[in-house]
Amino acid sequence: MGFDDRSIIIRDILGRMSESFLLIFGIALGIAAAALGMTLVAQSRINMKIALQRPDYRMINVSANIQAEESPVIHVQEQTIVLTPADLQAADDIPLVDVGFIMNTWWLKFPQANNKKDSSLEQPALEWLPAFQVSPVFFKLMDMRVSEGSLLTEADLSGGEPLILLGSEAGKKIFAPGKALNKKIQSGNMIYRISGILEPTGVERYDNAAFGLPPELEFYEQMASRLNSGKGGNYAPVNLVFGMKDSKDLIAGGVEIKKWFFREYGENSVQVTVPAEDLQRERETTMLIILIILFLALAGLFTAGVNVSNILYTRAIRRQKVVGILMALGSSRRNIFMLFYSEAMALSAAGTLLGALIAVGLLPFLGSITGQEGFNALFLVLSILSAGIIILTMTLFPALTASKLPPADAIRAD
Amino acid sequence: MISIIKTLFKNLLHTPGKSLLTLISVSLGVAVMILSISISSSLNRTLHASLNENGTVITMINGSYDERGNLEMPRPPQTTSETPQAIAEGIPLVTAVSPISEGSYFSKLSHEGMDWRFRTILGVNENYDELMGLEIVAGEFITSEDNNKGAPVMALSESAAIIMFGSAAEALGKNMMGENREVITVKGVYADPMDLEQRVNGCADAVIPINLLVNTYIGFGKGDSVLIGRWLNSMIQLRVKGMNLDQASAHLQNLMNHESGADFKLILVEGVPDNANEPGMSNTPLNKIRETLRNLTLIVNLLGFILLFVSSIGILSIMMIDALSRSRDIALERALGASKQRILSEFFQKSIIFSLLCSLLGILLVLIIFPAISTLLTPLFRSMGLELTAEITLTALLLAVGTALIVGGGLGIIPVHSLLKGNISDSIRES
Repeated sequence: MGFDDRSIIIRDILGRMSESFLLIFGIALGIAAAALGMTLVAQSRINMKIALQRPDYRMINVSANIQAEESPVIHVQEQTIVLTPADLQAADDIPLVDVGFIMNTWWLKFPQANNKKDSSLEQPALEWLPAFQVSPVFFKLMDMRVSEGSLLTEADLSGGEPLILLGSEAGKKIFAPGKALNKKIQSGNMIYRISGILEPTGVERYDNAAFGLPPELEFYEQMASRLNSGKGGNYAPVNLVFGMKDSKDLIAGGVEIKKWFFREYGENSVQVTVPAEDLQRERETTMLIILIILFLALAGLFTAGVNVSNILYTRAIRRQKVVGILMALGSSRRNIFMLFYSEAMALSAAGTLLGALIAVGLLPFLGSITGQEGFNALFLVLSILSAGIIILTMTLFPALTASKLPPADAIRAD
Repeated sequence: MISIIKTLFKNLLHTPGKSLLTLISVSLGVAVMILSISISSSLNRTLHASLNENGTVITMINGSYDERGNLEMPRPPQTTSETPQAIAEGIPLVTAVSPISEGSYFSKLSHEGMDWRFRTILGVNENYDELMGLEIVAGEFITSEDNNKGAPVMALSESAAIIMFGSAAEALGKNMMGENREVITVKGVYADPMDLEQRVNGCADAVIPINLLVNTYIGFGKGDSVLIGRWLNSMIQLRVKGMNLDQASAHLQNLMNHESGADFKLILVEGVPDNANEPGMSNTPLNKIRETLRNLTLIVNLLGFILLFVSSIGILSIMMIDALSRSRDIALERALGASKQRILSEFFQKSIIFSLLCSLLGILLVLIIFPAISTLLTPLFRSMGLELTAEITLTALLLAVGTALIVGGGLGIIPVHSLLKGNISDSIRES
């Protein structure tokens, strides 16, 4: 493209400022909308994949504490079912299952100073702390590491000394930062030593909780015998968790686990929940919203492309006498094509740039609406470039039409 | 006007493909805008009608947040078993008040050898039916006498009654047994509230007198009636009419400071908190629905406007061809004394007529596709507890058509405006 061509393009764009600005603005809106729609779809798919890879979503929970969730009331077993660590046998019996462990919801309740067994015990800053009783394998599966002290191990199960591990935030909550390790605290009638502080896991409910080891089999057997002989007493429900060898087998694994427990304890004796199913349901709703946004956004891009192409075509027709003169002076069809396509490229580039700015500005807002976060800049750049290429492709038509005008007809045109 | 319409159609037929494409795209823009405004206003209306027509349900919790945002509840609570009555009498715009306390001890009940577990069972007083706007379909609701005595009676939702006994009528008088062999008789059955109200206000699936809970806990040696009454009344729901949350908060704070004789720790949320252990103002089901709806409405309306705007650029393109093909005529008209305003007005009218045509087509398109779109979107809104009523609102029509006319009219005069800036004699010579 020569100097004169550039002058012609600049003169044509600047000569019709309002028209050119509208073209750029139209392209920008179309590109911004489409780029945001495409980025949202790509990011939501990635976020879903990442979420499903989290250990929590590769697990299946089994509990005898059946809750009515979808229905106002449900039929449950008359006899109180007490699951025990012995039921982890299901992990060995079902080929799809990799591992089974205990994970009970628990609370640490700290007594007031005057109710303490030993006045030398440390007084936490809180009255209670959410906690979990977990088998030691839990820490390995969740890839949890300690920032201070040590993890709870199989050896600690029969070690005699009751131990507690604190989540990263829980450690700061009950004692001053860095002061919790090896402190002894009382919860109920038990005295626990804080054996370690976990590194942040990124999961709020774990970071804010304490972790202890579950009671041994004997405890559950005694509880089951007491409850089922009508002697009453406290019921501490056991929650068993099974990890699949392959996350694709979650649904099939859930069915197998249900069969195993119903065979052991009777129909509807336990509640089997697959956390990934809730995530899938949530994702379906979000995807529907995102697809509506994508449809409208792509419709906007397509309409913008068609209209910009139309206006550039009209511009080409308006300048067909110029085309005829240029051809008569020796310009090739390629030169004429480049003259018009360069103008289209300049307008598209300006529109793409403005569209990119609009998209970057709106992305956090759209993310908050659709619950998506951690946007990958690469997706946005690729989406903007794709939308820009679509616009550039659609503007080929007017330039091609102008380059194919017969010189004699063009020079005679009014 | 007729000559303008004739010229417009002549021009449109001159480039039929482009004209048709523009007509379709602007119509689509108008249709999307009508749809988005209609659906959003329909949903907002449903939300308002379901929740605010007979006043607003508010949950009051005796507690406060510490500097880390953790809920702290006074021990013992500052409320007493007289607090609901004091609120009902002390604040004139309150129409119903009831304590709500989880009756988890009675969540598993048995009948004729079958054990049942309820999703939610609450200890409440005799005003709970009025508070939740419940319609009694069989028997009667818990009375004040039942509550005062702590009578072993309960009221069930109709859906629970159907699951357990086959019908509301069949449920009446049935005895259910608790885990420690307490017998509770079904006294009344109430119609299930709408899904939205159930979710937002947290209506229970079964209710028992709150004093039955008090008696049960006394029996377990959990304390005396005064102390247990304090605990069980630390969460109270009230329905207020003609008062917003801030006004209710101010009234309640004054009243409770006076009643408790101290600085009463008050947390107030509209509807029911999502999690009673973390009753944040922003995480109530109602606020979540409102936020989702507001954001969805905003983004769809914005995209509808963008679509209408970019499609209206087609009108600019059509008018550009018109202005080009008539540039010599326009220059001659101006030479013969026609003012710029007259020529601009002619193009403006053409753009308006074309936009109107597109709008009419857009309205027709909406009438055809609205049922299908409603069917597609119904599951999405039902998952939020909202029922989509299939109607196109006049406001939506006026707003979409008005926007199309303004944008189309504005864009349509740009080409001729550029043309009119030139010198008349140059224009005649150039053409």
